[in-house]
Parts: sequence; structure tokens; C-alpha cells
Amino acid sequence: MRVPENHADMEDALRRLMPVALRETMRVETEDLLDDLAGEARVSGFAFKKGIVWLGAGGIAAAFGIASLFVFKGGVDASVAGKNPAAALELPPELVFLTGTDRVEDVKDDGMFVDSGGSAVRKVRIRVVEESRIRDEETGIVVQVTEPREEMYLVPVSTF
Amino acid sequence: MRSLSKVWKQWLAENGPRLLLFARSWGKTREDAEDLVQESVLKMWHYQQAENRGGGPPDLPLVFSTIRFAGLMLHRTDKRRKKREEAILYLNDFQDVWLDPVMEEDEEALMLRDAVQSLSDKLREVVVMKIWGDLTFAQISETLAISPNTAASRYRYALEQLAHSMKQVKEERHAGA
Repeated sequence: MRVPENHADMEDALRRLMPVALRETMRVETEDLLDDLAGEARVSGFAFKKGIVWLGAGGIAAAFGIASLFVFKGGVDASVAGKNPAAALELPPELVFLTGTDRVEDVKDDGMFVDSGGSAVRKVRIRVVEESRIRDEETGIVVQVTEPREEMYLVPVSTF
Repeated sequence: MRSLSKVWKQWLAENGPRLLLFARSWGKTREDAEDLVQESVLKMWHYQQAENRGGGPPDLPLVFSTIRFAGLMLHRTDKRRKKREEAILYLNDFQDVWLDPVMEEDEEALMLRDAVQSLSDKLREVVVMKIWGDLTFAQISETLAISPNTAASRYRYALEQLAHSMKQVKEERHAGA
């Protein structure tokens, strides 16, 4: 047996020893953890982007909302409508948009009033719950994103 | 995001063994050490997701610090538990080694491995970070919150201790032969 003579020899001898490799179970567990973490980040990133998309698609959403108004005229009701496909177009390539709905959860009539131009309008508040299902192609995980929002519409009144 | 996950896995494959080796100083068992590494990876992930950090794997000194902190917390919990269970004896599993002797299956390597394991925690952590973590004394000093001079002197003292341990074993074997 040779004892290293000086610090340099000792360092060389130490470097020849290798840290024990990770056990397979630990490696797999930690990689799964990283996949899960990456999955969470994907969902939050998507939600952020989706918010921007919906800002841009406000006109389409408004049209949908007003159309819903006529359907639910006179009372509180709920319905399911077709999803705006614009949201799906903005997804990163590894995420696949599966289905989406905009559900009108509540319609509240805030009454009539006269706007600054002297026209009679009805103020209607709509609570919409948007639900999207997205699949992560890498992990196969399907995530459901639920996003409530409230919209206000001023509907011109021409007949009494 | 897919590439981010891959980058972290690659980083784990490259650095996992050295992180585990460092964590062994803080965990009584290999399982404890593995938990410490996983806990630190989780913390580091969230830390790196902050806007200005880019989301990629962290620098090693930061991970060593995180493992050390998690180890201190585990040690505190462990001490409280030990007070309750005074009869427990911790024995090293014969197969449960910190450094792999397969790469250097000779008497010197095996003895050196045992000598490293028997170093005090303070000395061993400096050796692990310097030899297997490739950290500078400045980085080690930041990780351990000590001065670079203290880090360097602990390192030199550790090397002397290792040489002394090996000489002692050699002399004992001579005397017994």
C-alpha cells in the first residue's frame, strides 16, 4: 500500500475515487419530479399567454356575449357555447388544444339608463366561465384550465 | 419548456452523484441523502423560475448551500427524534459506500474511501466541494459562510488527516504482520 506523499498526490488519489452513481429509483423519481414541475410551469405560462389572446379577441367574445343576451333575455340562465379557436392557435407546439367551452354562469340585468348621447340602453352583466382542456404531448397529461370572467354590455333599447 | 425539462435532467445526470456525495454528510442514511438532494432540486427549480433567472439549472455552489441548509434542518429534527429514541444505533451498511471503489479497486483506494468517510463533517464537506464539486475556495467560503482562508486551511488540514489515517493503518498492518 502506498501512502500519498504530498497534497498533490493526495488530490490525485482522491480524484480517482468517483462519487457513487444515483440509484435508478432516485434518478427516475427526480426526473418525474422535474417533468411534473415542467408541467406546472407550462400551465401557468399558457394561462398568461391565453390572457393576452383573450384581450385581443375581445371583439369576438363581445359578439358572443351579446348573442347570448338575446338567448337568455328576461332571466338568469346558463348555456354552453362554441370555444373561440383563437386561444388554441397561441399554444406552444408541445401543447395540444383538445376542447374548450365558454359557459354563461350568470346574467344580471342592472336596469335601463340614458347614455350621454340621450339614447336608452340596458346595462347587462354576464359572468362567463371558460373551460379548456389541453394535452401535453411530452407527458400525456391532460390539464383542464378554468377561467371565470365578467363582462358588461350596454344594449340599445329601441322599443318599450 | 420541453427543452427546459431535458436540460435539468442532463444537469442531474452530470451533477447528481456529486450532490448526493455532499448530501451524505447530512443524511444518516443514503435514503436521507437522496431526500435532501430531491428537496434541493425542488427548491432550486422554483428559485430558478423567477423572471430574471431564466429557469435553467442553478450554479453548483448554490445547490450545495441549499443541500447544507436542508441538511441542517434535517439534523435538528433528527436530534429531537434521537432524544426520544435513545436506543437507536446507526451503523454503516457494508455495501453503503459514499465513493465508488470500482473505478480504482485497490487497497489504497479502499482505505482512502474509508478515511474520507471518517473525516469530521467540517473537513469532509470542504474536500467534497473542492475535489468532486470543482469549487474554488471563494465559492466554498460563500457556501459555508466562512472566510476563503478558513476554507483553504480546512482543506489542507483534511488532506493531512487523510494521509495520517492511511499511515496509521499501514503501520498497524505492519505491526500485525
